Order: sequence, then structure tokens, then C-alpha cells
Amino acid sequence: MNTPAAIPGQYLGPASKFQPGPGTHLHNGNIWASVLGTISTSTPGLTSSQEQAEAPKKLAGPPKRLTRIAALAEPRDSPQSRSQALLPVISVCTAGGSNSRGENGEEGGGGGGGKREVLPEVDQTVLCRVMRIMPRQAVVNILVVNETNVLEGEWQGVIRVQDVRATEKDKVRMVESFRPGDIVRARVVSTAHMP
Amino acid sequence: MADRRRINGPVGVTSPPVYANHTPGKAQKDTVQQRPDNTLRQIFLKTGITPSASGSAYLEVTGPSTNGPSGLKLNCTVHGPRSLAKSTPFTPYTTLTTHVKYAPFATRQRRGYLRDSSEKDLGVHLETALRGVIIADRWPKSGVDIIVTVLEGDQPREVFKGTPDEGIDAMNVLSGCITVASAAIADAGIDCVDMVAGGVAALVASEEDKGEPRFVLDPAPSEHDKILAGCCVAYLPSRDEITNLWYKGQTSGNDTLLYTQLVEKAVQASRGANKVLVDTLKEGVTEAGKQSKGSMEVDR
Repeated sequence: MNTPAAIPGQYLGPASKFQPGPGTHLHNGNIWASVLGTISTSTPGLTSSQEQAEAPKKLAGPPKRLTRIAALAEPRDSPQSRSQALLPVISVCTAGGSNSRGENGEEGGGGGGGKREVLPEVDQTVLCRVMRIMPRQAVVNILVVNETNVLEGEWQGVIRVQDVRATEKDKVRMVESFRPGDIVRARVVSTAHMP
Repeated sequence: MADRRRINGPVGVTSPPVYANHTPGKAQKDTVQQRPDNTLRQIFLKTGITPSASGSAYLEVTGPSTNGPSGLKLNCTVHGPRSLAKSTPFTPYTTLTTHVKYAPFATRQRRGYLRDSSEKDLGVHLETALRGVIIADRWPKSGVDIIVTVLEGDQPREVFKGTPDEGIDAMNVLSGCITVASAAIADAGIDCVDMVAGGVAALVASEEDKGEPRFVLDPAPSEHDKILAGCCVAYLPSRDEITNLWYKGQTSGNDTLLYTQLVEKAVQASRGANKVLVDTLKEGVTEAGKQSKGSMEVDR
């Protein structure tokens, strides 16, 4: 198997023929590679089972902000988005990278996605450890994103008192909800700045 | 301020031992330019050498003398993207920090353990060169640290015939720093618009040419009597953009043709370095592919 390698700045194709996937970027109507790895193309959503198989693979990759925003900003039924959705997604998967990550054993979990730090995005599920309790919020360390992506570094998150549960929000007391060291399964509501 | 926390070595020049067969006459001969003006010195590049870093690379450029060990040796480690310290203000972009440090033994003049002004200056240049390459909004609220250690500066052991030129030495080091950092960033899997590579060109004059100045790519200061001007660029080949430009020299101010020619030569040098960069990285990808394929077969 000889997969084509891509280096950052390599021309992959025109934006009229492909959709930019993870590891790529758009410039002047063309798609260019932005990470080191192997090129892969996939045609999105022909059957639902394929789509489901595709979904975790996509999430395992690096965040692709531009494309995600574009896809969500337009209504799903608009003809433009439908025609865009039919284009094959071209992406670059980092293949292991340096030797250090090759030794970690859990290689190839994301279908050759490589082990790469993944930042949490809105609506993703994370597992986190409670570090500090304050009356209005709890400070947590995010450990795992999307069930499978274990983060290497320490990424901080905040659970605000109004986000602890859906009902009787005014009666929530932070000290009764969490204790330091608890592992919390949470959904990301925002990645923006929170003071 | 003096560094009081560490046990510092003696200040001043350290001379490595000179052995019997290393006669001064021979050393003089080594400083003659041995390659054509339009070729680079040989470059060795390897990625993924520091296991604890997110990405790393090692770069070596052969010295001017073929039998001496002197040359340029650089080690670069990239840490991140990782979360920023709590005290840092919110930023929707990647925060890039660069450190360039000479090892204490890297040059004839022994360096301190703390970064001095020239090292900080190189760090700023490197940051400028890399800032335009990294796609900063892919990793919000996170920081990337790039640390380049100069293990051996580009200086010969012997005192050479020309006057020492700090500027050209620093340019050669900066060009190497840019190339090695580019490789390490790619190894770390940080999104970039292109592979940036450094290149240096100089306008030199020597007695053999009767003072007629000529352009040299990747100049070694010890090979030339007088370096009139030097230029170091950080160049993106597929976008045809320059992210950092450092020009230094004594050419007449209104000679813009000479100026652009020198920049073009530096870009040419950068393209040469980029070729090494691309070849090394492609080799690494195909090797990694083979390795992971092999390990998968073992698993089954």
C-alpha cells in the first residue's frame, strides 16, 4: 500500500472538486495541505451506515473550524449546501508523527488518524476531573474528549452553577454537587472566553 | 546582570587543543572556498529525535573546512499546542513563543547560561518568520513553545584571514533556526500554510577577484576577505512569500538593483534548503507508514 504523502503547503486540488477536511486549508479557491501526513479522500453520506462509520473518524481528526462553521451556518436543506455535501472530502491524516507518539501503543485507534492533541468543541462530550470548587463555578481539568481522545496536556474547563443541571437551577449549591477529585462527564457549552 | 545562580565557566575565549598534525599552514588552506558560488553547503536534517517533545528536529550544516568538525549544529524542540497559564489573557489564536539559545560551548567566545541580547534578537526574528506560517486560529487558547539550541555555532576553530563578521554568523544561525523549526513544527503536527525555510546570500569581495564584488549563496565568513552585504530571508516556496527579511551591508544606498538581486539570491538559497526539508519529511511519512503497517500486522 503506497499512500501519497503530503507536506504543509502542498497543493491538493481545487475547492470546486473537493471539500477541505482536517489537516487542510483553503487559499485562493484551492485546497492545500497544512499538516504532514497522508492524503485521504472520502465521499460523504451515501448510506446512513457509512455516515455513522465516518462520523467518529472525522471527530478523531484535528478540529476543522472553517468547514464546520460553514456547514452549520447554512440550513441543511439549501441547494448550495447539498451540492457542497456531495463533494468528496479531502483530508490529511498525521501518520504517527514523531517516534515518541509511536511508542504509546494506542496507535491507529482513529483509522490512521495518528495521536494528536484534539481541542474540545461545542457539543462534544468530555470527561474531566474537578480541581477547585467555588460558590459560582467549579474548575475542572479536561481529560478526555469524545470518549476516546485522551488529552496529553492539562486543559482547563469551568462548570458554572447554572449549568450543573436542567431544573431548579437556582437551588444548586456547588459544594453539594461536586467534590475535588470527582470525574465529571460533561457537554461543552462554549469554547469562548469565560471570566 | 551577572548570573549568580549557576557555576559559570571561565569568561573569555576557550581554545580547543591543537594537535601536532594540525599545522597553521594547512588551516589557512582550509579557508579557501571549495564550492561554486551558487551552491549550498551540505545539510543534514532529521525529525523526531526528542521523545518528550511534541515535535523535534536536528539540523547540521557542514563547516567550510572539510576536515574540521566545525559547522552549524542546531536542535529544535516544539512543545504544544498546550494550554496557556491561567494568568494569560484570553486569546482566540495560538500564542507562539520562541527561544534561541547558544549552548555555552557553541562558539569560541563562551556563552552564558542566560540568554543575552543577540540570542533574544534571534528569537524575535524566528518568531516573525514563523508567525506568518502557522495557522493560528486552528488552536485557540493554546500556546506553542519553540526552543532552538545552537549546539555548535558556525565558526572555525582557527582565527581566519578575514575580519570576523557577527552579522553573517547570526544570519547563518537564523537561517538554520528557521529551517529546523519548520521541520519540528511539521513533526509536531501543527497546521502551517507552507514549509518555511531560511536562506542566506551575501555580496563578497576578495583579492583574487581584484575587488570585484560577487554574490555567494550560504556564505561562510571564513572563506571570504570582505563581506559587503548579507541578506537572510524566510521564504514560503508554494506561496512565493517572504515572512522575514534581514538585510545588512555597506552597499550604496540608491542601488536598488543590487538589493533586489541579493534578496533573490537569498530566496534561491532558501529554495535549496526547502528541498532538503521536503525530502526529509516525505521520507519520514513513508517510513512511519511502513512502521505502523508493520506493527498492525504483528497485532493480528
